[in-house]
Amino acid sequence: MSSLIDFPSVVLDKVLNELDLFSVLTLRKVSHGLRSFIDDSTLQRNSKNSIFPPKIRLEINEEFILLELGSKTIQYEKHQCQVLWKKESEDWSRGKSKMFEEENFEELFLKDFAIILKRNNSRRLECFELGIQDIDSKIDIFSSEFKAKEVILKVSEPDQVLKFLPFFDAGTLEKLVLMAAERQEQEDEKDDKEKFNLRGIEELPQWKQAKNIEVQGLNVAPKIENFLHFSTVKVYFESVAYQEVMLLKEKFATSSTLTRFEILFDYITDDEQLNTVLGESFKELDDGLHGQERWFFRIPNSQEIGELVITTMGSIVFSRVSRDSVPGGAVVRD
Amino acid sequence: MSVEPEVPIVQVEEVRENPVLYKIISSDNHVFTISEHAVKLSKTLWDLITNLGLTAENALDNPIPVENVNGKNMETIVQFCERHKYDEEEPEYTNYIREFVLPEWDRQLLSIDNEELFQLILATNYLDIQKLMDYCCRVIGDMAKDKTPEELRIIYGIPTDAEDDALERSASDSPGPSG
Repeated sequence: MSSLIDFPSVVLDKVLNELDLFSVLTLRKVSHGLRSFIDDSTLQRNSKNSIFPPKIRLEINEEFILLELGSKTIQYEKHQCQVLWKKESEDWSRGKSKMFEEENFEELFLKDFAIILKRNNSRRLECFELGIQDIDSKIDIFSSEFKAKEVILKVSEPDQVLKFLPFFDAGTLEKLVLMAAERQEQEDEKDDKEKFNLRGIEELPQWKQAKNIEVQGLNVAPKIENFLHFSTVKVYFESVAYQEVMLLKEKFATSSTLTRFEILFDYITDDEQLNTVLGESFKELDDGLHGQERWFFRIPNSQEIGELVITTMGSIVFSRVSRDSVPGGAVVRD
Repeated sequence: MSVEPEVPIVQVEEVRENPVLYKIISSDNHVFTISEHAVKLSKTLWDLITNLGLTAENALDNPIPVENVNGKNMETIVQFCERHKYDEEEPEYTNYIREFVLPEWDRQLLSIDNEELFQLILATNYLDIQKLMDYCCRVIGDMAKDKTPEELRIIYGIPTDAEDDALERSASDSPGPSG
């Protein structure tokens, strides 16, 4: 019976280069011999077929490490050093697993990750989603910076951003997403979310140079001035003062960079003032429950019209629209 | 007009004008003839031919014995080389996103069981045929898609760690050359 392991190492090397990344990681788990061969192999970067998945998602916590590559997911569990993997559409119960009782799940992951880095020397990719719960985690994956166009950081405190964001090349980064990490233990539904201070983060070149920003589920200070240099903004504010909305309207009309600014809010303080200051809105009530109010305003030196939409669902959206899309009967104000 | 575009005219003329053929004998004594352009795809064979000083005149009288390759593999190899003898040099793949697709003809040719395919790879490695090697490795690589480690172990004929250890033990238990 012939076997892959009877191949001369040059041939085996060639085969490895024909395998997609996920298959290499699977093959690593077949036997010790293959594992050490793969770890020592060169895995040329530009082999014809080593298509690198556009997105990596990585979650690291004390109990498990989750690694998602394109449509495939591997989970390394601390318990019995079990490794599970599945395709996008499957749930875990349908996935496959294997135990490596004599190994350490973190080391197993790190070796797989080293393969990934070998396969993508350039460290370029479309999107890197990272959630590392323990800021002092000893799992060091950043031997050099990644060049990702989009970076999604799942965090619970600003220090995590300060620690991990600098590992992404500021020149490549276009879109930055900061999300609240899912909490392990259900905290007794505390309504007052801890404040998430952007100070320090604002000083990072990644923050300064990114074009698009999304902040989800983190209680950042409702100051729009922190976001005015971006092109598109989507941010959650627990409460917004109506003065901030007015300030944003003014800044939006004169900004050379902003094209869209979306605020998700729980409430607007003194919102009755809005109608006084903005004038009567153009109302559309679709089903009587979720309505929206729209205002249109001129943008100096531009053919485009500024549009402000406030919905009863709790969102404020400033965007630029063409003059044609302003509904008849709507007033375009200054 | 029903000219078959399958075979370029150039090829027909060239073969007619320059019908240099070589004879190869496989390990199990099957004899194959292969054209000069085709045999050049095998670096090993072409080096051998050059070193032996074979020419158009004496080529057919001097069959080349290849003891590492059996008739079955040699047949596949000769077919492959004849098929690809006029291929242009493939451009370097600069864009790593681009996926290389194995041509249907070659996929058919390589639709053989794993045992045979593994033998063919070893033969291809010995004869140093770059393109066939790439294609074989591709077929082997494709087998791994969406498999689990256990499935891969079976497909690739890899012993378990326990089997490996047992093998090593029996090897070290068996008397060495001096014992």
